[in-house]
This record gives sequence, C-alpha cells and structure tokens, in this order.
Amino acid sequence: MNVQQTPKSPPKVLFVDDEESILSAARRLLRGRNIEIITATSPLEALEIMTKEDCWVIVSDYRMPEMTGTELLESIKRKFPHVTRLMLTGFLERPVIKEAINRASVFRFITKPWDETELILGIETAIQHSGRRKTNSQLVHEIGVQNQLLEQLTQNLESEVNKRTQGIQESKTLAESKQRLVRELTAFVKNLSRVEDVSELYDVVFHEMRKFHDVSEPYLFLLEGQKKSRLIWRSSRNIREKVVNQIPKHFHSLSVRTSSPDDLIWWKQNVKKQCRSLLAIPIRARETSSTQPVAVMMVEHGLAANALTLLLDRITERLQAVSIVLDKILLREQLVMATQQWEATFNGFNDPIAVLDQQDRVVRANKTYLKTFSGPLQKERSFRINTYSINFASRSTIIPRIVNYYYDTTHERDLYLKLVQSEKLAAVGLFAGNIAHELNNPLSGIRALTQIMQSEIETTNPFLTDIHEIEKAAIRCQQIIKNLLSFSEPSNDSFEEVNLNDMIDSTLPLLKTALRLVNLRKYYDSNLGIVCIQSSQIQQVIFNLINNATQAMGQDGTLTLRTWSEGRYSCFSIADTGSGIPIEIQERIFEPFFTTKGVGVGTGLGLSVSRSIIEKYEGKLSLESSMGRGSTFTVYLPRVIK
Amino acid sequence: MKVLIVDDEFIVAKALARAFESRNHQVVLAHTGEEGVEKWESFAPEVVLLDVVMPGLTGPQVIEEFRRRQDSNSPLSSAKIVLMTAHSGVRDRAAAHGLGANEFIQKPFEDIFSLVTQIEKMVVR
Ligand SMILES: Nc1ncnc2c1ncn2[C@@H]1O[C@H](COP(=O)(O)OP(=O)(O)O)[C@@H](O)[C@H]1O
Ligand SMILES: [Mg+2]
Repeated sequence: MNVQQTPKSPPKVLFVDDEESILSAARRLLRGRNIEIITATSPLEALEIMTKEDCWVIVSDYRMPEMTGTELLESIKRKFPHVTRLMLTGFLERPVIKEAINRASVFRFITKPWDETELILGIETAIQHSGRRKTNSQLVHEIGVQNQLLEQLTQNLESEVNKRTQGIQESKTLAESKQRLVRELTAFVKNLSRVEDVSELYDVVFHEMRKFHDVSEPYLFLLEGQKKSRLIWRSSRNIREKVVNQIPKHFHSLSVRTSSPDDLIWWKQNVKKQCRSLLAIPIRARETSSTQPVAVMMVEHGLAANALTLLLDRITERLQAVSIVLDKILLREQLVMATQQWEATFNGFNDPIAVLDQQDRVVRANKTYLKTFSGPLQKERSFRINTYSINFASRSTIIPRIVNYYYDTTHERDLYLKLVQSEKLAAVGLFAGNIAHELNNPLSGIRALTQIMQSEIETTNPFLTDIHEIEKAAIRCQQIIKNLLSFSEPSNDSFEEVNLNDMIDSTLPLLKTALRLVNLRKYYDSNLGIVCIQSSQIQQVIFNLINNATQAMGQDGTLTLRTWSEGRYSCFSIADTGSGIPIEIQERIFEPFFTTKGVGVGTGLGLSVSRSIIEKYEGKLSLESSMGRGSTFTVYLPRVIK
Repeated sequence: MKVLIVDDEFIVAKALARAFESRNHQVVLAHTGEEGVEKWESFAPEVVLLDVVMPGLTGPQVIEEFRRRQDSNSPLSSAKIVLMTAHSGVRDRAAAHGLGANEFIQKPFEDIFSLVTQIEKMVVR
C-alpha cells in the first residue's frame, strides 16, 4: 500500500524501544521504503526528539524503564496530537490495552515479536491516517483564518453601518448574542469531531461546562448492559477509569434529574463526598428509539436555579452531538479490542496458519507460522496442508483469499520411520541368528581339533600352551555367539530356575566393548534365592540397561551392579554416573520408539521391551535419576517359593 | 567299529574323524549328503554321524534316501544313526526317532572325547 499524496520528503516515523536490537531490526525492515525512521532508546529521548522533528507516526514499546508506553504516548498525544500512535506489545492484558486506548488513543497494537508485513502495514496505515489528519487540520485552520477575515470584514462593515444607522443598535445586539451562541455551538461540534477517545470527550464536555464556574469535574458512567458500568472521572490531571458492578435502577431512566434523592444517596455511598447539588444527565444512544441511556453524566455544582437552567439548556443543546461521538468512540474501542482478541486467538494456535492472496503471497500469518517457516529449520519437518478459500468483503469489493492450515505430521512421520526401522531391526536380528549358526560350526571344529591335539602331543611340547590359547579363544567366540542366538530365538527358550548373580555374569562377556571404558563395581548378595525365567530374555534386559548406562556415561564413569532380596522379590540394580534423565521424560522413556539418541544410535525400543519382559514375569522395572548425577534402573523379579 | 561321518563343514568332520581314530575306530568321511548315501552303501558303517543342515540333501533326507534305495529283500542297515544339530530347538530322542534316527547330539560339542564315549556306549547297547 502506498501513501496517497507522496510528500516531498518521506514521512518520519519515530521508533521507541529500550532494546537496541529491536530498533535495528526496525531500521532494517523499513530500509528502502519511502519512510524515514528515527529511533530513541528511551521515552525521554523520544519526547526531546519530538520537539525537533516533525514526526508523523510514533511506535513505542510498552515496557520501558522511565515510563510505560501508555504514559509516553499519552504525553505525546497531549503535546503533539497529530502524531498517530502505535504500540508494540508482548501479550498484554485487557485492562492495559483498554487503558492505552483510552488514555493515549493508541491507533493500533502490534504484537511482539512482530510479523513484518503486519508491522509495515500498521506503520503505513498510520502514516495515511496522519496524512489525512494533517490535511484535515490544515483545512480547519484555513477555515478559521477565513472566518477571522470574514469577522473582520463584518466588523468593518458594522462600524461603517454603525456610523450611519443608530436605530438598529438594539436589534444588532440581539443578533450578535444569537450569533455568538451559534458560533460557540459550532466550535463545540468542531471540537467534538476531533475527539478520538473517552478522555478527550470528557475534556471537551467539561471545558464546555467550566464556563459556569461553580461546577466540579463530572463523573461519566458508561453503562455496559444491565449490571456493569465503567466510571470515568478526572483526578489530578489524569483521567481515571474503573469498573462498577452495581448499577442502581434509576440510572436507566432517560430523564434529567436535579438533586434527586436516589442520586444523592448513591453519590454519598460511592463517591463519598459532601455534596451540594447534583445534576444527572442521561445520554441516549444514537438510535433514539432506545429507552435506555448509554451513559449518565453526574455533575456536582453550586449553581443557583437561574444558572442551572442556563447550563441545562446549553447541555441539552449539545447532547445529540455528544451521543454521536460517544457511539463512535465505543465502536472504535470495541473494534480495537476485537482485533486484538482475534489476533491473540490467531496467534494462539499451535499449528501454522497463513492467509494468501491469489498470487500465493502471504498477506497474513500467525506466530507459529513465522516461527516455523522463517529462520533456520531445526530439523526437517513435514506438514499436511488444509486449504480453503475465503472471500473478505470490503465495502463494495470482494477480496478473495486462501487460508492455509498446516498440520504438523513430523511426529507421525517419525513414528512411521521408526516402525520401518524396527522392522529392519527384526530382519537384522534374524540375519544375525543365521550368521551365528554359520560361525558356530567351524568354531566347534576348531575347538574339537585343539582338544585332540592337546591329548596327543607330549606335555613338554612348547606348542601345547599355544594350542590351549586357541581353544580358549574359540570358547570365548562361542560364548558370544550363544548370547547372540538367545536374542534371535527367544521363543524356543525354556524356563529355567536361575540365580540372578549368575545371570548377570553370563551377560557381561557380551558387553565387553561397552564396558571397556567404565569402572565396574559389583555388590552381589549371595543369598538371593532363585527366579524362574527364560535366560535369554532377562539377558536381553540386562544387556539393554547396561548399554544405556554406558552410553549415558561416556568415559570414566562408574557402573554399579547390585543384587539383593526384598520381600518376595530377587532384585538387581544397574546404576550409572551418567547424565541423568530429566523428570519430564522419566515416564516417556518407557514408551516404544522414544529416544533422545540420534538416528542409527537409538531405536527407543530398549526400555519398552525391557519393561514388557519384566512385567510378563510379574516383576517391576523402576527408575531413579537425578540430573548430572546419574540414573539407577532396578529390576524386581518374583522369587520361586520352595 | 566303523563310523561314517557326514558333515559339510570340513574342519568339524576332520575333528570328529581324528577323535574316533584316536580310539582306534575306522572312519570314513563324506562332505555332502549325496556322498554320504553312497558311502553308507559301500562302507556299511555301524554308526552314521549326520549333520542336519547341509547344502543339497539334509541329514534327514540322507536317511530317507538311503532307506529308499534299500531293496525290500536286502537286510536293512543296522547302523545307529546320530543327527548333529546346532539349532537349539527340538532335540530330544523322540524327535530323532521321528526323523528315522536314534539320537540327537547338540553342536557345538563341549568335549569331543566324551562325545566319542557316548557314541561307543550307544553301539554296545
Ligand atoms: N541410563 C540412562 N541415562 C540417561 N538416559 C537414559 C538412560 N537409559 C535410558 N535413557 C533415556 O531413555 C531413552 C530411551 O531408552 P531406550 O528405550 O533404551 O532407547 P534408546 O537407547 O534406543 O534410545 C534414551 O534415548 C535416553 O534418553
Ligand atoms: Mg537403549
């Protein structure tokens, strides 16, 4: 969008934020556009700049050290009313937003971190707005000048006429006073037309009443529904606002009341002031068919009956204009709130959403979209896109738009990939089983031959020890193969009554490489009792737990194996001095496919398989872990009762 | 006694042969199932040690083939048949009988000489 009347020099935008990084981001963003950006790192600096520079728009952060954004913008509004005010916000609460709208007439809120298109659009719209206001006020100014000229002209004419006509003097005075009244009314309406928020309205109305001297600052009640109202008043220069939850019935009446007992009682209870006389003026909504006021203005005064009538006359004359403006303000307020709410909702979605135009350009997107698709992608993610088209109606034209809703399927895809991986794993297991058999055969031949040779050569032969070494190596190989086989053929395994100490020791040779770098400590209880299990399965559990432990430790850790008996259980624990497991994932690590290890390292199956095996024996697998200290996995297996 | 050893794994066959020979038995080796059937007929062993898994004819198929070739008139071979298997599945005597053999032995052998002793006892019985 472009500024309609391109000014000779680019419009100036003042950006205020106490964070330099934000300012430089803004500078970068606005570079190359027909906008001159000026920055300030503090509200005071901003106020100083404003006295020197003719800025069109000010964009201010909310949280800053010296004063809040609302306070800054409020004082800008007072001193430089033509500058359009934008506010950057994190997630703000309604009261803060309301306050900013009412005190500082904030034109638009832009949430931080900002969406670039949104920010640019906001600034450009604000520039247009300022532009329009500038031309407006210029017009008003010109009209003023012309009026003066006219007045002068009239005076001149009048003095001419005066000289000539004496008799008309009386009627002239009368006409003059009428003219004055009309002029005042026009001025009032003109002032009103510039009003943008409740506090400005308040000021204009009060300014009007102050002409009557003995009138104190009014209280304005905006009635929202039957039960709630907003009370607006001024206290030491500031406009205050609060919510009042009880509205007396008579507030809904449409008649003007002077010191009615109901009002007086209510006033004393709620405003707690000594009260002289009280004037209550209901303000109707614009649609005059409504039987209830949208607002009630209450003024305390010390006016005599005469003056009071004059005041009432004056106010009644102006009430219609006031109610129109009030309508406008309330609508605007609702609009800003609704936009804010809509944006918060839009941004609250955890899935990316984008609105595209017909050329597939993103015209609007929520935060998740920006987070997901801008900046470096952490890992490859996959999405399913739901697309539907929407026609936005704007005045007379229809703007076709496409909404893309991105449904993150990364997790689904990962799960699927892992499933495929685990199937591969099973295939590898089978394959390993076959290889083990292939190797076993020649190994048994080697072993048998060494036995024969040892029996046949003399005991003095130096080869005897060599041959013995060969036999030992063959035996060790066969041991490894036997363990490997127990993984691939668990179902053939029969139940055995074993001692857990032996069970663990028979598994350790399989983990030789894994255990090479750690210190191993064993504390075995010799009085453990017997458990009835399928060896290969329990071996598999031990294998998984020790593997995890050594992977968590790296070099120089200590692995402690402990066995004991407890109640009806034989127990063993495997403790490491590794990284520990964050409490948030302590339950999740038992889920199938849950892994924190890289592709090719972790399958996420170890613990889930282990737990299901142990539970099959009516045992328990539990975990204790503290970050940085290490983890202990404990297995409880029911003892065989003899 | 006369021992026929059928095993495709050369070193296993050789080790078994050596062990039996060291106890003064007469050994003939075959490295395939087909060769095993031939030598069974020509050598007329008292003990046949048969590997189960072999390329070509498997151990049980060797037994079948040998039986098939026996004329109904000619006397059935009285050899004791021992199947050698590395698989840890079914491996009891009943299973061996089902396959036409007398016994299963488990590979790998822990002690080759006690295996020889075990088979010697089997033949005497
Ligand atoms: N001893 C341990 N120390 C720290 N973390 C562990 C330990 N054991 C398991 N884990 C965590 O639990 C997850 C799941 O373990 P597991 O089911 O064995 O699958 P994998 O080891 O293939 O990742 C691991 O990725 C790891 O994050
Ligand atoms: Mg693991």
